[in-house]
Amino acid sequence: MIELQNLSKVYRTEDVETTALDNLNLTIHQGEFVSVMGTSGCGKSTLLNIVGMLDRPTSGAYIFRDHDISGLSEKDRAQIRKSNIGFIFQNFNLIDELTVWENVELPLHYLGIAKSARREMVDEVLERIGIAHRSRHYPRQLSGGQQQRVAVCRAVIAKPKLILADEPTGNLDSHFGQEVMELIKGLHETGTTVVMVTHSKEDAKYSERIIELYDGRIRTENQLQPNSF
Amino acid sequence: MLFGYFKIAFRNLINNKVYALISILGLAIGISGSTLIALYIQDEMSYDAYHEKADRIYRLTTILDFNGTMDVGLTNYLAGPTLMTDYPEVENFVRFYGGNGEAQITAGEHVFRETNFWITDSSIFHVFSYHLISGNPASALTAPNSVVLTQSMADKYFPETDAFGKEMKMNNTVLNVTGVMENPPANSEIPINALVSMTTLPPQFHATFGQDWFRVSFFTFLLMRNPVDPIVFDKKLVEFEKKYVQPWSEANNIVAGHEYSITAMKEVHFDNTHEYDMPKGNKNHIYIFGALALFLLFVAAINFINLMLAQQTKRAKEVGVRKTLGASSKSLILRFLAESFVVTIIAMIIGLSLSEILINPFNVISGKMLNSHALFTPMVVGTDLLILLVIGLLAGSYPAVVLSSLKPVNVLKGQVIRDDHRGLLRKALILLQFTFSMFMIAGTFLIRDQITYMHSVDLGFDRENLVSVDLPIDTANRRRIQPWIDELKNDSRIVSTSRTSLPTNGGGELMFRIEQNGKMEERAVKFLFVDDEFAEVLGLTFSKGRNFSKDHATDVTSSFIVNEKAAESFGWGNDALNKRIQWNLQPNGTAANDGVVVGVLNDFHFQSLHNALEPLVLCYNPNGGQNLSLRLTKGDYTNTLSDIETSWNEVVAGVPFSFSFYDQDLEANYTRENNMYRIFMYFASVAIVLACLGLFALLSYTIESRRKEIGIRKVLGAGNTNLSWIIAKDFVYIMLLAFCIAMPVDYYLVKNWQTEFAYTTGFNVWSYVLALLLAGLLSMIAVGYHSLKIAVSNPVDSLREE
Repeated sequence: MIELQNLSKVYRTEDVETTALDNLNLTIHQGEFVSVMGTSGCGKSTLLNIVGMLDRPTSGAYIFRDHDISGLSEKDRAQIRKSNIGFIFQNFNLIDELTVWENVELPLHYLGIAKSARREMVDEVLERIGIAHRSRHYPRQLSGGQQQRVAVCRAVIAKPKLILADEPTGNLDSHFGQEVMELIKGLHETGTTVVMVTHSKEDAKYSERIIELYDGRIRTENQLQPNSF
Repeated sequence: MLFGYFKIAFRNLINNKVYALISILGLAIGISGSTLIALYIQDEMSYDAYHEKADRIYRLTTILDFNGTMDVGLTNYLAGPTLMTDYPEVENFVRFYGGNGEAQITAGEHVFRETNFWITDSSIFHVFSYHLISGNPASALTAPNSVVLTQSMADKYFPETDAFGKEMKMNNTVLNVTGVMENPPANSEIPINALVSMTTLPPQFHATFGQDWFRVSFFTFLLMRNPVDPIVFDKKLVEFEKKYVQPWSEANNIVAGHEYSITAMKEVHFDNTHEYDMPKGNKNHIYIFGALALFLLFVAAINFINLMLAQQTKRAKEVGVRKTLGASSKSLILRFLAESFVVTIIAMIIGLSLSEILINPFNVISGKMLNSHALFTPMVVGTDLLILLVIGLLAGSYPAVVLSSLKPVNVLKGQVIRDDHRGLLRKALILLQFTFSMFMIAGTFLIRDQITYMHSVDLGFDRENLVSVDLPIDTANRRRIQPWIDELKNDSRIVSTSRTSLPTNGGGELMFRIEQNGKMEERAVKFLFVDDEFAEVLGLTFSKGRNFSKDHATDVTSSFIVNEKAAESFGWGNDALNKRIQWNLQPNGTAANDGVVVGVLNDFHFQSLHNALEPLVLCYNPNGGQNLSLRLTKGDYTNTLSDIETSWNEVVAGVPFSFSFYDQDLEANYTRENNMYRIFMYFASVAIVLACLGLFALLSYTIESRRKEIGIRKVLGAGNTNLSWIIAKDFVYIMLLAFCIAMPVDYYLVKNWQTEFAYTTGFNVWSYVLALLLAGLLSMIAVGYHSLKIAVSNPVDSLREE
């Protein structure tokens, strides 16, 4: 599903050049659950941003579902992103002015789905994730765990092929963290590809493969469970 | 989709109540204030625009050139009809005569004193668009003794009946009501209560005026067949003068000429350079008020834009999320613009509603008679839409463009958007705001200085305790009035009386022959007709000679009194007594009144202080004018006046007792200045309050965005004073800079304004310093509040968030 070939990302300021990703080669298959670990500044988030098409590599190729997207315009990448990828962030990134329901609805809105269909899909996912009773609340009225559940709902509402999770339990206590990981595990079990950046070894155990980055390169790669394909 | 924008905009407002209240209400107040001023300007600019033929109507005025020139708003009797005969482009003419004096109107049992009863030509309804409710416009003013009343006069004289066909009396003349017209709008150059047919004037009047090119007494309007260029037509008027006026002057031994000129109807209201003219507007005031409206709108709009900018910056995360989820830059720009418009529209609606509510109080302070229909004229609605567009765009486009161009990956990483140039923009806007506010506050103080000064100037007489009583005009009552006046003289509470109307803003000028260097020279000089008690009532003192006296039988025809200024101006120096003066000039070099100076008065201000002291000649009229002037003893004179009224009612039949206080009559000269002062005062207060509220909100934003810095500084040991200074210093510099910009502008404009007065207080720097201190004090309240907040805040809270 995802193939990164000799991928590099270099940040340049006036007098410093920082290599975040250094000739990285990585393949992630359809339906896989991959954790990316590593120390701060090792390039995990950069990797996730490039995979999520929020950022461009400096060099190298990025093949997504058999298409090289490294040369695509911002607009085209946004198009691919909104119909294929769901995001879960460490700090939830819910919009404060929108209710739970509206936050979850947002991706469907940008996909141009009709209102009646949107209503049905949002209600269904909120019910499934167990947050329907909070649908009229605003993010600030929810606990961290509840907010992340909403974020999960938003990530899966458009039935993406790929979910990118950036330290999804980083801002949660262990109880809520476990709940959220169970949710992600459930999504994976329905066939969704998951790439998760995490510091937590506990969380990483939910995945099938752990990639450890160091200074922008893959240092170790552990297959924990048999591939699902 | 629009509903969605509205929803989010609304939630944003609810979440930021203080900001929302300040920005929306501020903008609403700004819109409302500037709308009211705009209505004022529109009213001033639309004088007589309602006449359908306004673009073809011109007013004819005359510069009389004797020994020196006299520019009058009038013409003689002949100019209008002669021009129509000689020049095919002149389609018609209308003359107005005599309406600025008072007339005594008798309708049935009731007697009224009225002004604005104009004697006019029957062509008036052809030239001007006055609508007759009853009567035939073609014939209403053709027959002698015809009068057309305005609706309000008709209702007043003939309540509950139809005035048409009724009889009434103007002074001693019987008139038939041949028409009733709609009340003309208030913004009319010639205020009309009634129109009397020109043919009502006796035949000898027509005979005298109809052969004399130098009897200049008529307002004359010309209706052209097509619009003309006044400059081009004025050249034809030079020929006209040569053809008619010069031969007549030569034939009558007058060394003098006329210079005619025309003014387009739409310019007449601001054509304020003529003597003997109706009260006029002032273009300078219009510019000043226009600037005031713009300033106010600017101050409010800047508040709004600044607060919107500050608010929108907080929404970077939202933009990041939306972009990640697939929103395009275009859709985000649209969203921010739409939200900005939603908020602007809310402010606009509140602002216009406020204007509607405040229109009556505004009329009180501005002396206008605006009504709220004016809010919905195409010009006002169009301007409002333009304002809406500009503010909506300004407030929405900057955040829209900046925010929509953000990279989601940066925003979501928590990287704050750089605030440098936005901060600079905000500061520039605040600078403008405080410049405007300071300009207005200082302007208010400077206008007040001038008004206070005018009250403090020694007029050369005591303006207090003087009362002016209107005397009856009809002959029967006139005869009865002198014994009544003689009776009043026995009242110890009445110090002195005079049958002279006290001068409020000078009289006009008359043509005199004055002895200068041994020759008699013609010269137009200001004059007053006074009795022998005038000087005593007003408290004037003689520097030489004597007062008029009933004991000198020849005083009426051959004695004059002049002021010191006249003695100086005529080159008499200390030798003014017995110098020769003539008036009531006859064409052959003789004069009906030929005499000498018997007294010289110390100078006194017989005109408003807009005018410098001028030479003045007093002519003796022992029979008195239309008013009785009384000097009362100091103190409460309610009882005195009520006793006078009681005795009046016993003597005078049917005419109500009416009087005014002289100091208030004098004050009427400064109505324009007083109105301007009040408008400035109210609007400057609003502007400074808005600016300070804006500053308050912006400071809280600044502090919020610098919480971390403040926290770190506090942990490192910064004191509260130090922290307050860090926050406030930028604004202090801005205020000083605003002061430096506003001061020269004010100086220039006030100097310019003061040229309207002959006596000015100059430029009081302290008023400016006071404005700075006031603005500084108010803004320091905002800074002080925030300093206190910083002082009690715990730095750990702000640092923990990071």
